[in-house]
Amino acid sequence: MIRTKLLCYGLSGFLCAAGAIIYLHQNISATPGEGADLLLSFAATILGGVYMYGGDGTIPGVLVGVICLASNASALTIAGVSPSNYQGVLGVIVLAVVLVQQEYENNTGAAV
Amino acid sequence: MTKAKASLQRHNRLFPLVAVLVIATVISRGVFIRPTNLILVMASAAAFGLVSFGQALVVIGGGFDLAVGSLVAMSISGIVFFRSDFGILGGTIGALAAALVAGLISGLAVSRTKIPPFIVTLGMLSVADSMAWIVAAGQPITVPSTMTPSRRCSKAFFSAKTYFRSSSSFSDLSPQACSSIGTNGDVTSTLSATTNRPRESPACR
Repeated sequence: MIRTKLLCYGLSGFLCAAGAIIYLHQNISATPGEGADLLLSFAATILGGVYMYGGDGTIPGVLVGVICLASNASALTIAGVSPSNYQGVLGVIVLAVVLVQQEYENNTGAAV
Repeated sequence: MTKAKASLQRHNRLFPLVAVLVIATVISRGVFIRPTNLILVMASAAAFGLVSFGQALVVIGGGFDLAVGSLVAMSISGIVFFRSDFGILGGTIGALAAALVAGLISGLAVSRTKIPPFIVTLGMLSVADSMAWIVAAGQPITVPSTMTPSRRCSKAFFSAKTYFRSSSSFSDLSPQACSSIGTNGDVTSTLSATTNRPRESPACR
């Protein structure tokens, strides 16, 4: 149990560095304060069906959540929404998903 | 639970994705679903996706990792600014190891003590953030052109690179910086074009 948690956090950090490599590969400039909006990764995991308090969830599910968030950003750009409004829209989506998760859990008595 | 019910529940998770794709296609009037745009979406989600997988591991384990953003920032600074001493490979391996060690430290603190993950990773967020600023010496980071995809590579990516260049909404680069990279391909010209910093900054080494 202790070792599993340790490995989870370690792998999380490792994957952060892997993400940084891909980021460097795609962008030409960055600031040291980069990545503040990466807290949305939590939103992606919840959107992908991971139970918020732990214990349930799959990586393919998280992939679905990631694609959902990325699609949102792209579609909003094409539709002409200003980039400063993304965060608000994404926040509303995440709140809605969490509410639905809670309702589902209350109704069925099981984790989503 | 019967097998059919289980499989239905598993496919349940795809319903939000289908809904999002349909809504996105509708509000973008059909532009979203074009292959070129889908490639762009996938490419822009790559880094975010990797970070989310790590976050998912932690969340499934009942924790929460606030530090992901600043660990990415720390890795970016580390790769770019240790490249001058150890080469690209050395900088990359060093950044991977540093982020792994940072994650293991917060994992150790969470699993061995009773400190809530929120507090531990909040501390790690601050530490990694300040490491990023220290390593970068407070300067904006300009990625050397040897790290961005070469022309040979980008051909294999369905000419996704031309799409990156043409769409100004996905990159915050000035056209000036782009053209200077294209003609000179040197770090210094880009740096002067974007930031007007003197040549003594660490990025120019």
